[in-house]
Amino acid sequence: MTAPVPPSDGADLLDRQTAAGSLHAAGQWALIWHKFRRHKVAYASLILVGLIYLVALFAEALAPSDPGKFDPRYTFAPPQAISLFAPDGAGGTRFVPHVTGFDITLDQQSFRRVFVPDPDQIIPIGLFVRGDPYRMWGLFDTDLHLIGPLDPGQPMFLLGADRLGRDLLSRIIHGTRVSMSIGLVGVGLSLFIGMVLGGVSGYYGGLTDRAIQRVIEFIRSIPTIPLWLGLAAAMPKEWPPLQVYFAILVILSLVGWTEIARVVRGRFLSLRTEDFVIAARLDGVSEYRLIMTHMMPSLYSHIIAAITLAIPNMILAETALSFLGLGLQPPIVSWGVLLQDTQNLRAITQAPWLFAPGVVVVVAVLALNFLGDGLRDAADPYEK
Amino acid sequence: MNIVKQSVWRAALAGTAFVALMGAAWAQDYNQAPMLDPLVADGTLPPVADRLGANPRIVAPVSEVGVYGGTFRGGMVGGNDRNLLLKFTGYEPLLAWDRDWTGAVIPNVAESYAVNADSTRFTFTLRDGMHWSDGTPFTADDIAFFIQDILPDPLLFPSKPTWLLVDGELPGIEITSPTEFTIYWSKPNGLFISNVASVFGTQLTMLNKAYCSQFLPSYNPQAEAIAAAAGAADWSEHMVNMCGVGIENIQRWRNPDRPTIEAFLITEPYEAGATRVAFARNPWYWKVDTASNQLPYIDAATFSVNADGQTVILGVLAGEIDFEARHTTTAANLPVYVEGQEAGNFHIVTRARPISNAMSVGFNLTSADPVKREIFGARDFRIAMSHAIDRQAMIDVLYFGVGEPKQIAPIAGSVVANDRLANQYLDYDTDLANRMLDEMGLDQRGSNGLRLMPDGRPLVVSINAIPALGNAVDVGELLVQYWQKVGIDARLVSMDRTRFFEEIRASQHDVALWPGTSGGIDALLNPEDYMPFSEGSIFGVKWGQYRVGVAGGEAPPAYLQDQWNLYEQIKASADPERQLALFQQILEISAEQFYGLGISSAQPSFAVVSNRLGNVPDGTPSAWLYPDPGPENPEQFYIKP
Amino acid sequence: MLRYIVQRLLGMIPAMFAISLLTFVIIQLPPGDFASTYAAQLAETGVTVDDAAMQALRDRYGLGDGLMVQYAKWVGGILRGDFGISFEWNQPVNQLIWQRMGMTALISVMTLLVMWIISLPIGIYSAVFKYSVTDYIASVLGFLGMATPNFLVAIVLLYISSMWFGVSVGGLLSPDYVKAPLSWGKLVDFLSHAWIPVFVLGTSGTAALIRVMRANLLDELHKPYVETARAKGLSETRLILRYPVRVAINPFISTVGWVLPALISGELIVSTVLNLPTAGPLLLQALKSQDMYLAGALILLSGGLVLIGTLVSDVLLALSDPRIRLS
Repeated sequence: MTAPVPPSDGADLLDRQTAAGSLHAAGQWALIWHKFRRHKVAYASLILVGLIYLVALFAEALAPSDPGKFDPRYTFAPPQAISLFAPDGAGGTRFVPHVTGFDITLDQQSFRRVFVPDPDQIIPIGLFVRGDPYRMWGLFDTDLHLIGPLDPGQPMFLLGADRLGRDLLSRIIHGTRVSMSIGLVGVGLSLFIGMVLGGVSGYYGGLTDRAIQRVIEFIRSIPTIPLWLGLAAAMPKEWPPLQVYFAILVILSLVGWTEIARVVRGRFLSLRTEDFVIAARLDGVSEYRLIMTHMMPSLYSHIIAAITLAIPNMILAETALSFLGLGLQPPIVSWGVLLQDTQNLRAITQAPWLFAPGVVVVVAVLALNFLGDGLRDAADPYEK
Repeated sequence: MNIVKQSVWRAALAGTAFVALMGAAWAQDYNQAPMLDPLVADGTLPPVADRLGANPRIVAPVSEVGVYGGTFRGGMVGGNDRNLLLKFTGYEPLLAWDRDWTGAVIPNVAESYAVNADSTRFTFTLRDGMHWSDGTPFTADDIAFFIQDILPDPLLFPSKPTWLLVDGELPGIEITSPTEFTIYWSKPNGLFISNVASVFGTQLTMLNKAYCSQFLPSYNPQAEAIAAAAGAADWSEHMVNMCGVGIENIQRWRNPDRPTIEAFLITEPYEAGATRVAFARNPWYWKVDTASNQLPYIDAATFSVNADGQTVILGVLAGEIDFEARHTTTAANLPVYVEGQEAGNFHIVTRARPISNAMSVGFNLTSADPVKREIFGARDFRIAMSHAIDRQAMIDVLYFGVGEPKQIAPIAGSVVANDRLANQYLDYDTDLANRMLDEMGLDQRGSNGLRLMPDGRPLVVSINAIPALGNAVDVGELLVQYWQKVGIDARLVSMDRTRFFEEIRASQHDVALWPGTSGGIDALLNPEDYMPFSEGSIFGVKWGQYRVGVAGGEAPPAYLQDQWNLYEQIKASADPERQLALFQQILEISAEQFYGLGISSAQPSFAVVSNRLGNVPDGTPSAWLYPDPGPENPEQFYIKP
Repeated sequence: MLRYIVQRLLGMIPAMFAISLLTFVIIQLPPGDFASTYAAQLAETGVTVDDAAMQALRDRYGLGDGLMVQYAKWVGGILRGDFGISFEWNQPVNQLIWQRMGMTALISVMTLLVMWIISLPIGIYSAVFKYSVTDYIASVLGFLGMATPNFLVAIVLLYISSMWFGVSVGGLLSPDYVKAPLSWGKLVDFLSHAWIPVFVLGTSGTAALIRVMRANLLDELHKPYVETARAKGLSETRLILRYPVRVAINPFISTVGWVLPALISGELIVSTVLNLPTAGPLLLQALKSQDMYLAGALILLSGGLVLIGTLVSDVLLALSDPRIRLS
């Protein structure tokens, strides 16, 4: 396979020759990694996905403010841009990272606040500032935020504010945790079911295989949204938000496992006849050991690719369910919950910044897809 | 200008004799819609004077005498929007509210009425020569058909409308002539006339005896067979399918053959899968304008059936909807409409909302949990929770600063207003709230720093809210933050309507959020916000159930029994002054008990009106008991040429 | 051939049965029933439904029966062509689903065709000119379509089409054409509305189809028969279109099996936003109000639609490639 390789100079060529020499002795993972790195888009996506998960991990510290904190003065405040320099009053400029404050007037006719940026109102911002207190990972209390206004009372809405004057950026950052973890945990669940059933199906073959294949075909033939809707509508309404969150994970996984099972089964079927497996079996290795230590390792790369491609589907599914009002509910913040706010003409005509979570979803899903694509290509290091 | 005209006409209409006189004087030269001319010419229809009868109702146009023709275009949302149609064309009670809803009633189907001294007998006189849409006369027999044959039937009316019950007794009827009848009870029903003019009253004039009796076994031995042939389970199901029976039955908007007295007749039924519903004018309509033109002006009406409100908004913006006052006229959408006015060729008129509060916060005084019942039942607890809320900030966030901090109470300036009930315990004072909570024994705190109940369990207060209902969820989110600040572990639970009402019926909720209800003159008819009165009293459901006789109700405490007794005295009185005085006594007890918390006085609503639609009033009220635009006489809306 | 079709049809029976069972479980799962939904509705306008009336309602609709009895009644009815009654609409389900399901099928099939028409040439091009700029642009655009939530695009497009191009809001036809007889004008009007759902739904799946076509064709392009043909001096265009594309197109057609369910799913969301007269909005409403037989019929028929779509594609395949019938 000829991945797009940028024109290389001599030193690079030398590197690659050395690397090529070492490839003869490289293990499976090294080979995959080597091949994967040549896929530039996928490589960039890997970094992006890593960053997104970092955001999810450190949401409280990264978000400028509390995602639920509302402010009567700033309902539907538009985004503010960060400027680095401000006039120093003596005709020159000085270095003050800041955002510009607003002149706010109330339009009595239309019940609306009109925000006019006022260049004279300079709101200095900084890194690692004190702001809303929070409890990091449930372990310790702090109020340190990566970025924010130096005076916590002043407005800083880098992506604008929503209908209650809540900071959209902070909400997106907190939503990242919920949405990305729905993808990850949901896929984890799918993976478990898929591996077990796919493995059993592929390893034993015969009648078991056919029965499981029928089930998979059946599930794949049902349009998923009606199925999800039905299940989501069935959820007891008194469940607390967190329980709803896990229930939705389960619902999404109930359908998501089939693709993984299909991949696992396909690999098992072909591995079954490989020499090393037959050799191991003739050696009298127990079935459990055979599967876990001999067959599984050569599956990992494919499985990783399959789950990477399944995560974006989960994320999109969550947004769809939330959009239909059957997914997560406030006060939990997910990208899907945030996108509910875009489904009205108010957002389209007067607050287009509310579509920002949509952009985030697109970027995350794109990155995961490219990453999965690259992994899939790299998964068979021995192929041409 | 318009207002002056209106008030002149109200004065004119006050005397029914005057109306009768005018009707008789003009009987010779009525005008009709041009589209009806050929039908009269070929004999399909009799001349307009014959159709109108001797004494049609004269309706004063809101702004000017209109012109005939055109199609009215509206938008419905969902499969269950039957009441939009009811409000548009279904408001034809015996007596109607005046347009400004002062509480006075004006003649409508009945040209006059009389009440005996102890409010037990109500005599109505119908219009001579008034017809159903199929050309048959409308008589006292039709009213009697409902009261004698339909209302008592356990299959057609398994639950009787409460406004027709006096101590469990259904009304009787005496017919003295085809145009005169008397409805009576053995005990007084002082609120009957007001109820007749409310949306409920349309029930009495809905059913055509000649047509609907064919589905009743008591009139037609073949009724069961007809029902079976039509595929219905029994005669009653078929009857409902063909005649609708109740005012809220969706089937009344299905059968084009069913005769009505309404201005518009259904041509494209409201059934599942329908993408639109359509109406055509009723050639037998019994109202005229001040220039002797038979109403309605408009030839036809169509309503698109939308899956979601957003396409209704878009329809208005694109100039495809002439009138919208129901689904999308919220504060959140107002800026969108204001900005789209010119491009979409429409304008905005205000609608007063005489409701008791923008959002009522009902603590469950009859909680199924005995410890919580004790806590929620303590007045000091509710007062503390009231002081813990910064209402002005909430109004700024939720309602763009429009509205005043108020408790649940009749609106200021109405004849039923009560200052104390509306304005007590409004200050935002967390110190006071904390102190009161500590003093009442809620001073123990758990490991999370939040208060514990006396039995050691954490005091978790779930706030039930319906996402589809205005901004109930937003209110809930803010309440959670305020109450957490005084150590109450409040949690928002958003749920769908069904679950919401199931919890309320079972009295399992802690706090339920529901917009305030009747806060104007209708407070007398429906005082559910001011005392546990029915299942609609979300703060005292078990007591409300006891009062309306639903299983599981609990006997009321003494102060509530006093309120109920006072209400019975109101019903027994025929004197409006005395009724209002008694109602003030009820409100004083409500103020003393402080049943529920309010947030803000209700924001005015609005209606979006196409510039091509004439005679739509500005500033009229909007409520369920005043089913706008019905009392504004949509039959005199007209399409400007 | 006939034997094959009959075999496949027989195979559908257990599948339909399984779908019906699953559907029934789904519509039974939610707590409460229509009687409680109905009471909640009336409570909003101040009407109290007492327990006797609730019981009467439950008796009328058989909501009090055991689950197995209800299922047997339901399936028994369906076998006789009776899908039960829609509680909310008070109408037999039969009367209201067919037109809506028809519209759903129409939109889904139209989208499927459009997806094929777009992805086929692009897939071929991407395979032949692997790693070209066009190949990259196609895959980026495709992924972009896949990554964008359908409903997000739908409402923006609806706004643009009605405010900027004056197309009547929502639906699949302008009000004037709803009752009009078939005509060119009606067709044009239909297309001016239908492009939005087709576009929105199509973008989400086209990327996947392009990749299927590309991968299939890449496999074929390296086979010896291609080299042989090339050696014989066949022009490159004819060579690719005549042989490898014909082979690669088979798996492409068989994508119906998984594209169709996705389309029907997506249709549900998109049509709710766009207010289309399809099954989607009806199903959503039915699920929310626990109108179980209506919801059940729609879920069941959605499953049936997929089975039929798969069958048709399999028959097409079998017609074009005799090997498939034998395997």
